[in-house]
Amino acid sequence: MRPRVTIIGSGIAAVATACEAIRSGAEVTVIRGRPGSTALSSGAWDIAGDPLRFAGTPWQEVRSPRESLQELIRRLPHHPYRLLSLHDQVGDLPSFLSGAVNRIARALDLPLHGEIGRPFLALTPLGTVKVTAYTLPTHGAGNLLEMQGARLMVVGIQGLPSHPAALIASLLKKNRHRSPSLSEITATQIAPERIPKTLSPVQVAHSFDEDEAIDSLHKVLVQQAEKVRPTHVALPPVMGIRQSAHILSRLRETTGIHWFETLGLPPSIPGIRLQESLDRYFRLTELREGTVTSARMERKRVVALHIRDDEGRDEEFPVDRVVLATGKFLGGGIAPGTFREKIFNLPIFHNGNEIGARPVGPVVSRHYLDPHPLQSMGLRVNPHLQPVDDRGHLLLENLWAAGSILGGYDAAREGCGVGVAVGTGTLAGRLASERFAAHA
Amino acid sequence: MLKRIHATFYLGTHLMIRFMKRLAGRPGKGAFLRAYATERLVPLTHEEKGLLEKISRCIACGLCDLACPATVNPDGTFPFFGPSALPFLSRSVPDFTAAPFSPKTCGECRECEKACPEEVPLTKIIEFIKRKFEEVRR
Repeated sequence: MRPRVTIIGSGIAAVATACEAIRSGAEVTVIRGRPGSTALSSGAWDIAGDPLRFAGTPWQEVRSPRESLQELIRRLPHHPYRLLSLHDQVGDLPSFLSGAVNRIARALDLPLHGEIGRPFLALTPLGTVKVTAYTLPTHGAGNLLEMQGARLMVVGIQGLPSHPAALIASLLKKNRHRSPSLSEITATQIAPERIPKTLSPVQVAHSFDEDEAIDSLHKVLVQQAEKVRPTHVALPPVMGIRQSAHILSRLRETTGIHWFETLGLPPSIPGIRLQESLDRYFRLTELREGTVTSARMERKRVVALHIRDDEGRDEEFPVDRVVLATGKFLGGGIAPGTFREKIFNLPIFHNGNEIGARPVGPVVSRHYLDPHPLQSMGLRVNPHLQPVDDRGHLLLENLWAAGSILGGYDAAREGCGVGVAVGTGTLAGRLASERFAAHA
Repeated sequence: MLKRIHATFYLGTHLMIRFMKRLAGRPGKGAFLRAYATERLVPLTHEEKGLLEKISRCIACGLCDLACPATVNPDGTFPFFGPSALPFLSRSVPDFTAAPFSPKTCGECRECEKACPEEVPLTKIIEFIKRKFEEVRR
């Protein structure tokens, strides 16, 4: 009989688990609740940030995700990457991660740009540069490392304050000593017809899904490009929600130059597009919509989950094996205030210590750039990604955990959010689908 | 010294006046409306104050705007600027009448509420705005 794997979650960790479980021949059900932090994604897929980088490091000297990964594992003994690198199913961690990312990209029909052996330097709407590993297709042509002698034009849209073109260009110019490759940086402001008078980038992007608005935008952008003659153009990340690939490829074909979007800030259109393509994938699996409120457990095993749908109806759903990929606070995996995992009431740890009803010390630091316990708390797991208690004893035999519900890492500081989600999701999916799983 | 006596006397009389006023009963809603109607302020109930607190859960992710079917007309006009603006608009009751939209455009399909990751009660907020909109106009 094929193992039956139930995945709770709607983000990247859930999709990584589903991909791998299907590949391993399991019968997969996804229980999708409300969207979590994946819907706020900037469009960059981080694997590992360079821990040795400082504010003034020249762009050419930034380490690749592969080198940074080794450095992170060496420095942080509690990091989920460390668990992954020690597992005999993983082997070489960078190759494991890049293989998994490529499989997910194929499954989602989402041609990602970037590679594990080379950093991707993407431009943000704040005029700063974000070091990452992969980006979504619309940002693909925007790797600043690949702009040798480029003439860059930054585009802003009249009435849309979230992409200040002049500010982005001036900040890039200021940092020119770090980027000798760019030969010229200009800013331009466009005013296409038929866009709404609103502050919401979501509505602006929505309007660019209509044919007439696309035509008007295309005309204005091509005119500007002919006047300024750039080799690369940075567009605000609002180029349609469903039509973005069409808009950018049409621009590229008409002008023969590189067009790309800067990364998104919440409300982030690249994140919304990513969530939509994840949802399309989930619809191919057996999908249940609703929030898991609690679970029935018998003798250290999960027997059934209680699902509540949007109309408030409750239903009991029998399960065989469960992968928990509910995220941390944004995704709703940890109940704020109580510091317990929401569904199975599992304990939450920080630095190997269980957090009781009230944390002993402060959960946030005074300075933004300092480490915040709130960011790195989460479940403690054994090497097979199964939650354990403070003495290391297994809590539930048929439960695995993946993604940001795990503790021991800080996605923002270490630049490893998607990498951990993909890595732990893939391993959890594989282990949960084994015919004779370790404990299940 | 004289100043001190004067101040104590002043405070004492006003304390007495305050207690006497209490005995005579509270001014009530009518007096509130008489005093503040010109500033377009209307009283809020306890439930409505609780609702205003829930608004602060909004993380400005914009997913409700995407889910809302009322934001774009088929003819390409934009009658409603999306539910994401509501948590910000609804904080100030006097501004409801100045808002550049008619809350009638919302058909209460609850799509925005279903899409919200933080479970902000958007439909209730819209109801609240409509109710106060009517009260303020009166």
